[in-house]
Formats: sequence, structure tokens, C-alpha cells
Amino acid sequence: MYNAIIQLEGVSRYYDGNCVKALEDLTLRVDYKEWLTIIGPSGSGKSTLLHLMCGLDRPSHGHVFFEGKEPRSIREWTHLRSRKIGFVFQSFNLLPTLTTLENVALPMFELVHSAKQRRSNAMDLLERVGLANRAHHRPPQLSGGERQRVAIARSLANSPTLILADEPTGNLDSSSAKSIMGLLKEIHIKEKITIVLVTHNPSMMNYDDRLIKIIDGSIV
Amino acid sequence: MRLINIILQNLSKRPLRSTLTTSGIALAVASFIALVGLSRGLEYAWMKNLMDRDTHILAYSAGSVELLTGSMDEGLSDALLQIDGVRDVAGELIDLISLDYGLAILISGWQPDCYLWQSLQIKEGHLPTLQEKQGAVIGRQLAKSINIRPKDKITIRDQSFVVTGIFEQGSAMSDGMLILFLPAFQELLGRPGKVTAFNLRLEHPENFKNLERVVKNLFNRFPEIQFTETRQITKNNKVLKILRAMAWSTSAIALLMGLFMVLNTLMMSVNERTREIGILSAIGWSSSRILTMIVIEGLFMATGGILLGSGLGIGLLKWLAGLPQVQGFIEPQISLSLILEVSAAAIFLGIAGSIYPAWRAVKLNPIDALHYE
Repeated sequence: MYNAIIQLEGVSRYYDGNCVKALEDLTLRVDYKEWLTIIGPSGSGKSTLLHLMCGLDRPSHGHVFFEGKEPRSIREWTHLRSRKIGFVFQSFNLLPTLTTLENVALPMFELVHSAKQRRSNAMDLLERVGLANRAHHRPPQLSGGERQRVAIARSLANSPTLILADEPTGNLDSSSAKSIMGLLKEIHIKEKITIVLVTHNPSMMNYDDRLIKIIDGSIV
Repeated sequence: MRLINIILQNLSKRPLRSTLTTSGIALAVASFIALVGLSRGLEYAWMKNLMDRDTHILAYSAGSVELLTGSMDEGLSDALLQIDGVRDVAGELIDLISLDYGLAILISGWQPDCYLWQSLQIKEGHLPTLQEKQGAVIGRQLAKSINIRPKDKITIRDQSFVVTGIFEQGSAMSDGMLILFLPAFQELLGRPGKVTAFNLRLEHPENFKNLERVVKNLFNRFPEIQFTETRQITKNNKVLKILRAMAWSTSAIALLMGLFMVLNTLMMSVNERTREIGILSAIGWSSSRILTMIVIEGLFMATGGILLGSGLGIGLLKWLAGLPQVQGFIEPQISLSLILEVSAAAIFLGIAGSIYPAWRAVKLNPIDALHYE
């Protein structure tokens, strides 16, 4: 049995043929049920780190382990994202032509084969985030805070063990931001889900178990 | 929510583009049905014409590309009758003649006492008697086209013939013909003692081995003549082979154009939905599911094209077959096998046109797709 859900060893990420450095020789471990906040200025590599943790991007050098195993292919990472990892984006990334209920149900296609069951599960998740009455609205009809709640509900669709949140309050006003952070904290405590949150906002640092700072692609 | 709902929403997001692509496939399907249906219609009309007469074997000059250009001595019929298994022989002179009405029609000259006359189903008037040397019978369809009734006269190359009766066989080619006595037709064409073909009726045509034996004996005895069983007549005809090839080639080009339309539409669609595809990958949709979604979009357009095109093609074929210039030569053939063939081709092009865009979609790096504007 291992305690680390994510382990990064000597990870570097370069762009434009090694001309642009995003991360350099980074080693990091995230434990189960931990809340880790990653803070740093804009362009420091925070989001890149988060993307590497869930396979949305591949390191130029180094290794990324999830639950002790190193996924080798896009397919393996996609498999993990459908079952164990939820992602919350700064810009929500909801599909505007689908209703909130349909957006929440989208990740369930891989695991839940009954349309009726998917609908029921999605409605339960919307109730948990307080948006059951908005199930049949489309994202353009929702406020920023409501959209991010839908995104959080979507990230919980397949009962993940890890949620990665990339500046989840970046596009929200302070009141909505506080509400979203409260929701994430509640999920972290009740569901015992590991959370890795990226932010550049110091006021978002009061929720975590551990805080790391990244500057110019390295952990300070 | 089902995958099908997402697919339908994707298609309806760009209704004009989806409709144009579906219409392109429909046109390809319609042209396939019309062109191949026409060429098969010509073959069927000819074959049915022979079968209506109770002819089992048709004999014509060996090496003739076009049946109408062949010429044989009428006297050969006696020699043909000597072959064991041959019950009747009827010489026939056939030609395509333009009437003053502006129509080109098939005219056939039959020996006065041959069995072919008995196969005609006279609906009005009567068969010409042996005394009515300039008598003629006319098919129902042709009679209607040129407004001819029994006892009316018809002029062919300045010679006058009297229509004694109207027949109806129920096939386009038969009902579009005019039939004269052979000697009168030979005189008209300046081909005394000549025929284009011999119609042979056998004693036991249902016996396949007997049929084979008779054909073999005929070939051995008359190497200068081609003997073809009625059901095979259209397969061996070189002109029909050319027509068939032309119909297929033109249809293939139309289907190929349909393929490119699907490819283009889905390439544009995938490009526009790059970010959306990135989101689907980010939330855990497998490559196979994304690929399936895009391929099914292509299949939807192909299916829509098949349904629309089938209706259009059948209507077009019936309209073409009804044109005066074509009447009497073509019997529109819309078989289930024709519809299935073109459906299979359209489904193939729906899949083929969507595979590359789908492959491109799943090859995208998710993070690059998410950042795509």
C-alpha cells in the first residue's frame, strides 16, 4: 500500500524545442486525502504542473506516477481521468449547447451505461451543489458561480479519488469565490477526496493542509 | 441523455452545412439509382421481350457488336429446325426506324406463319391475315404515343401499312414495337431474304441439361452463328456492357464526390469543435468514444442521403423512362438489390469520409485542444 496518490520525479517541461521552460527538475508528492495548494505568480508553471498530474500534458523529462504506477500512454491517462481524476478549470469548460444536467452526466458515459441512471446520478450531484433547479438551463443562462458549481459537480461524476482545480475562482467575484471554496472544502472533508488547487490569490490559501510555491518552474 | 442526442445536436448546430452535405450524398445516390436503373431497365426490357414470345434461344451473327447490324440468310431456319431438341424457328428482321412523328421506333418483321404471332395478346382489332401483306400490329404504348387505332394507316419510308390490331404484352420494349410481315419489311429495307436473328423454341426448355446439349449442338453445327439463351442475352451483349460500364463509372464519380463532401464537412466540424473535443478528452472520454461520435455523424448524413436520394432516384428513373424519346426501350428496374447496393456504397462513404477527421480529433493533445481558439 502506498500513501502517495501522485508522485512526480525529476519532471521538466519545455516548449518550442526546449526554448521555453515551464517546469524544471521538479519532484513532488501528493498524499491521499490531502489538500495541497500550489501558489505562484502568473507564468510560473502552476497550471502546467496540474496538467502533468492528470495526463493532459506529457513531461519533456522525468516521471509521473499515479497510485504507484506510471501511465505510459494517452489511453491510460484518459482511463484514469474517467475513473479517478476530476478536473475543474478556471474557464469552466462546459459545453454550451448541453444543459447543466447533460454537462454533469457527460463523464458518466464511460462507466454508466443506462441513460436513466446517468440522469439520476447527475441530478443527485446537482442537488449536492445546490443547482437542481437549474438542471435544464444551459451554461450561458447561468452566472459564473453557478457554472463553476456545475463544473465541480461534473468533476465528481465518477466518484474520483483526486480533484485538480486550476484557479477555480479566477473568473469569479469574491462572494462566489468564497462559496466555491467552501463547496470544495466540504467535498474534501465529506468525501475524503484529495484536492490539488492552483491559485495566485493569497486569500485562497486558508483551506489547505499543505502549501507549495512555484517560481519560474521550480518549487521554492 | 444518450450519445445519439449529442450527435444530433452537433449536426443541428450547423444546419445548412449538414443539409448541403446530406443533399450531396442524396444526389449521388439518386444518380446511381437512375443511371444503373436505366441500364438495367434496358437489359430487362429486352430480356422480357424475348421471354414474352416464348423464345428460349436467340441466334444472331457471331462477332456482331450490335445485334441490329447482323445479317443472316432466311433459309437457315430450315437447317436450324433439323437440330434435335429444337421445336420451332422464327426468323426476324429488326431495325430502328424514324417515323414522321419524330420518334425512332423498333420495327420487327416476322415470318407469316411463325409461332411468334401466337404469343401476342391482341387487345383491339386482329392479327394481320396472310392476305393483308401490308398489315401491321402495334404495341399499346406506341399506339398511344402516336395516336393510332386499328384500321389507321401508318407511313414508313414512304410506304403505307395498315394497322390491323393493337397488342399489349406488359413490357416496355414489346409494347413500344411495330410488327410487320417479314417479306414486306425486307422489301422496305432492301434486304431480300435476310434476317437479323432467329428465335428458337425448344422442346424441353425446363431441362437445363437438355438446353446445354442443344446449344452445344447448335454451336458445333453453325460456328458462324452466336446462340444465346434468353436469360443470358443481356450479359453477353457488348453494347449493353458499355452502357453498364458507363452507368457504373458515372455513378462512381458521383459517389466519390459525395465522399469528399462528407470528408470536408466533418473536417470543418472537427476543426470548429477542437476545444469541445479537448473538453471531452479532459473529462475522460476515450478516443474510441470520440471517434465513434464523429463516425456516427458521418453515418447520419449518409443515411439521410440514402433516404432522400432513394426517393429522388426512383422518381427520376420513372420520369426518364416515361419520356417519349425513351419509351419502348426501357423498363425501369428498381430492385431491392439496387437500393441495397447504393445504400452500402453510401454508408461506406459516410464511414470513409469521417474516419480521417475522427482520427485527427483523437490524435490531438488534450491540452492543445483545450487552448484552441
